[in-house]
Amino acid sequence: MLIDVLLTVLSPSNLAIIIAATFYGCFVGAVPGLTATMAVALLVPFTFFLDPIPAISAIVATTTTAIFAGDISGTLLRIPGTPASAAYVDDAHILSQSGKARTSLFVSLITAAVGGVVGVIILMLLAPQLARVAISFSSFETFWLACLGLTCAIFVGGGTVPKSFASLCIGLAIACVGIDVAVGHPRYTFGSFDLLDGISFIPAMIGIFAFSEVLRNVQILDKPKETIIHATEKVGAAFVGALKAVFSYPVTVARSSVLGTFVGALPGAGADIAAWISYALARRFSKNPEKFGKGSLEGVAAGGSANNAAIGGAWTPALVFGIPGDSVTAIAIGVLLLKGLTPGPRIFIDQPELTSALFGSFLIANIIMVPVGILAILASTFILKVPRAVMAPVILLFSMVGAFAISGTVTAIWIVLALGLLGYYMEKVAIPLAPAILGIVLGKIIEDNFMVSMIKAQGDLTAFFDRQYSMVLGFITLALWGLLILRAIREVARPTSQVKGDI
Amino acid sequence: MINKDIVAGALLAGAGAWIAWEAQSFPTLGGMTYGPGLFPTVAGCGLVLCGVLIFITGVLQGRPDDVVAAEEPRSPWPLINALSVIGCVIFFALALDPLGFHIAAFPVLLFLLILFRIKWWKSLLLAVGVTALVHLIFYSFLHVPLPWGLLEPYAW
Repeated sequence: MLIDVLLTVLSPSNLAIIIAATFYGCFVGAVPGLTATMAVALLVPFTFFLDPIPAISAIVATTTTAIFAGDISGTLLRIPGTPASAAYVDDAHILSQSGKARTSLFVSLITAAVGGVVGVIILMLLAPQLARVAISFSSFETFWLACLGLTCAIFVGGGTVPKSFASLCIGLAIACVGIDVAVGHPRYTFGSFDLLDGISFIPAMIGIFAFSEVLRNVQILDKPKETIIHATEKVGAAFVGALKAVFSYPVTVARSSVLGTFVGALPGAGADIAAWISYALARRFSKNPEKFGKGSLEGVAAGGSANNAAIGGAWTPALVFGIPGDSVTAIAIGVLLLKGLTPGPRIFIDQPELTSALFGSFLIANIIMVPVGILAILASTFILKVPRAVMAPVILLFSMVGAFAISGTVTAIWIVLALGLLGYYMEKVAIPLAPAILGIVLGKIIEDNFMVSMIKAQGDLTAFFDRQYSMVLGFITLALWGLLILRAIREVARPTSQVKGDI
Repeated sequence: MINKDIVAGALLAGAGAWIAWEAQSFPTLGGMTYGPGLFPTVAGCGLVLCGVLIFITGVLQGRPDDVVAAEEPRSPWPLINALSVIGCVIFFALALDPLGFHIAAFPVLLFLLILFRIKWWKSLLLAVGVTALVHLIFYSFLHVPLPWGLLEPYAW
């Protein structure tokens, strides 16, 4: 069994896919304005034609490297390549100004690999245990879990409560499109045959994360070019220096990795929030907190390990409960569903080779990331010189053809356009995207399980509190709702004290 | 300039009201307490509530923070670029089936690249190259049935 898994994961074709995905992730992550989520959304049309294991490997490898590579443009341009690098971009850039660009980048790379591995190990240990509990869940518990996931997304999404909640409702409304589960009535299809199945998830993600990014990018073509800092350090010395630096902060790296994993596991909180929290905590516990924000390698190490650890963490709820921990796992769940695999506790029993292969690919992706990352660091100046003016049309075409490839109809392209515009507008008015994504994924799950539960209980709502687990989950959800309402009242009463700087 | 929260709130509330209204026309089977209209109604009412709250915060906030930004002389190019991209998607979606992938993709790329001030000969090369690349990846390698449209007689 284990050998089978090793053979699948280490088979030449799977390794080739992981290596290719690593290079791809490195490139997309390093280019400012192209996020890790977008890298995955554009990758999906390709994974669609692969077997489940290579498909998951490709997604995992792309995310892992893209999150690391975000540091490259953060360090050399002071523009985080992905939002996950924003927390320590000042530190990294100041270090590179003082001639330590490569040291800082190697610290990012090494801590990213460490954080990534820690994240996977926690995932490997925790997920099967959780699955053992979750296997006894019925439609009542599943309903509450999905509600809890959505509530959590509002809580940690950054953004005011009304806006986060609005985002959630947008997601739920999108999930309502198509034939309903209870009686098979078409809803909001406007007579379109293709919409009877609902709004296809992958074109929706391509629209929200790739097309909206293209729209943003083409509006800043005229901006003057940022100056790229040329790294002149000796590579060997920089690498040794970075290793020394990492070994001088073992506690920081360990704490950030573990913390990052758990933050990543919260639905709605991804690598970016993990990095912010770990960075803040590292500063509080540091011996030289005054250096943070002014070129602290410790800060880079803290954020760099946390954001990569969060990737593994995000898979925990995704695999065990089918509730995505971030937007990338939301897409991954969509891919698994397309392949006829339903994430949930049963996957550990029915497809153990899939979960083991996922863990294996994760580890290998983190190992391969190191040599590829070194190459990327050496070639960084060239990567950053690729002009936006060329990237934008190319990404646009890949988005449209990719969406078309998934469903084979032009409707997919219209979905890309409509949801892309929606996502663009939501960003513009500071409505967070994460709750909407979770709403789209979980809306159907919530409605299905609600309807099934109500048919079982013959319309008696109190049945949702009858079973032990479901009562606990229900009360946690309701308590969080109470807190949210309190927060909303405070925000509306004092609109000027709005959360600022939630990047 | 009007606070963008006011506009967003009004839009959300309007959309929510429409969704909830539409949901009332969905049938509920006899004997069932909850029908297909329940979830859209919840989502719609939620949107109305949030829309109103966002509208109120917008009104309370008054003038937008980006007043300073608005006073700077604005270049029309960002808007032109964005609208062109949207136009290109519409053109591509409409042209894909009748004209075929190649005739739809090539002009979109060429137009956008030239619009973004890439030299014309580079644009031409890139447009041909990327169209060929997408054809190779999706049609030849992944076997996606990209429509040939007018080029059907030359399909291979």
